[in-house]
Amino acid sequence: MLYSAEISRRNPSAFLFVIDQSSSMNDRWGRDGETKSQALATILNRLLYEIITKSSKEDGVRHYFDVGVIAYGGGRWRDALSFIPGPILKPLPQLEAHPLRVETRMQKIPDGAGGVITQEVKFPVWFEPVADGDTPMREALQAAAEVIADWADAHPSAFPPIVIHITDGEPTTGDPEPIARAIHQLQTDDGNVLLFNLHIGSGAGSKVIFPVSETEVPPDAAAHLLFRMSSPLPDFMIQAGQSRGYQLAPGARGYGYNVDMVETVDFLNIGTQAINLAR
Amino acid sequence: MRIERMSIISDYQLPKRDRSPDECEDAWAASTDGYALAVADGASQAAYARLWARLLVESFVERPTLDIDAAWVIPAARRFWEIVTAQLPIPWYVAEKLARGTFATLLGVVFAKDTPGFSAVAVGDSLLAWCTPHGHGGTFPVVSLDDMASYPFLVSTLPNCNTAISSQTVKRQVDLPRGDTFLFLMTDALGRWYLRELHEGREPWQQLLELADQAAFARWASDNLENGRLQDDDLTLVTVRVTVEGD
Repeated sequence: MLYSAEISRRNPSAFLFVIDQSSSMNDRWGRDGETKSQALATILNRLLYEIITKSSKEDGVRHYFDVGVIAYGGGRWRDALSFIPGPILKPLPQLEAHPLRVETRMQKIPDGAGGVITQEVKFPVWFEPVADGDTPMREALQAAAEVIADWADAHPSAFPPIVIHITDGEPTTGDPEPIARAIHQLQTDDGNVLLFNLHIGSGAGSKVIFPVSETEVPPDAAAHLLFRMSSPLPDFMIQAGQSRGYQLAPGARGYGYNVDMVETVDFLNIGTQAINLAR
Repeated sequence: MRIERMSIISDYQLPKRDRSPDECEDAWAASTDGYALAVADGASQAAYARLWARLLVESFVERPTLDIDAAWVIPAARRFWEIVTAQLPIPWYVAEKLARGTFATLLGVVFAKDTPGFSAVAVGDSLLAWCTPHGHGGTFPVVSLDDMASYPFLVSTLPNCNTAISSQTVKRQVDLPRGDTFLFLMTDALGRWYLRELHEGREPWQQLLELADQAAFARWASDNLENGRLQDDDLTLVTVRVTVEGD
């Protein structure tokens, strides 16, 4: 059965996020007046916080995953976690050890008798909002393909890596679809690499999330492009989506178009469900 | 009739594959007089799961009861937080995990002192099985693999998560026949194996009684992991021999 390999310290998997940081990400998104880049940075930081929390025990963070973030905008792509030593895909304990900066917050811990103890805790930040320039989506996905190809070669028995691409627009430097097809062909012994695409939008106009067929996609060339670039969800992700109230049918794609902030958070939680398989 | 003799004839534990023994998040305990026993299985996603499991079994053998409720848990929870907060400051991810609660199953057995029998109480999916001179005696709290929940109710370090404990607790009283009865207290991976063996018409208690020592248990577990009959999880097995005699 595919997508069933053990995820453990002995056999880690990988998440690679590819994030649009073009100038259109300066547009307002949602009700609080945040820009798309600000909101996405918050969402991504919370996701990394969650991945680390779920992958940790009292004695430390377990190396269940390698994690990377490729950001693109301003005519180029970059390793958005370059302040952490090493290649683009970095062992999860390294993310915990090397945040970009740390905020201090007060957290309440129960005392077991109905009271609380207040402790000062650190809230790490890894990803800052940036929005500048054009949308070199093809080049960024090419870089992602190369990173994932090398990783899959080095980890043949791993649970397949998952690439999650988030954008608000259209590519400006060429057609990324052949690159996406190449990513779909990458594999480990446990299955093909998964590429999910999420388009975050203004909310106006048609939207779709987790469609099965291209006929469900709004009449927009970019929407159809991203659909074709998206992998079907494995069964355990379909179940996770159904438990969150989404009507997911077998064959549903890891794809959303013109989604809002809540749907973005749900999409990322479903797309990173493999966290819950690690042991 | 009455219980003439009772002894723990073996206790075996193994962590998940490729883990060290101190990473095993199961715990078991017995009272000094042996009349109360308990096993607990800490939830692996939680922080300090091993500690919580140990505190629960120790609480049970100190204060054995069939009435496990939120109030009963409080002393163990208070002790948990005393131990954990003594280690402050703790990393942010540990603080976050603690704030989400630590959870464990609890299975307790109390032998009667005046009559030949025992009472059992369970929260979660740890399993008690027993065989008598007549063969299969029973299993508790479930009788078939289909009844093992994927996400069982667990005892929590957070008081607000324990409000429904008493309604999620299963209890049973069992009379023992004359002769030797063997009780097997086990955590869920072994419990699933045991129930599957029963379902397929075999006598799993025979296999368990043939395990001479920890090394034999480890070999047996390894073989059954390889053949897929046992899932990779912490394993705990406590075997008790009870002899009933008299008129």
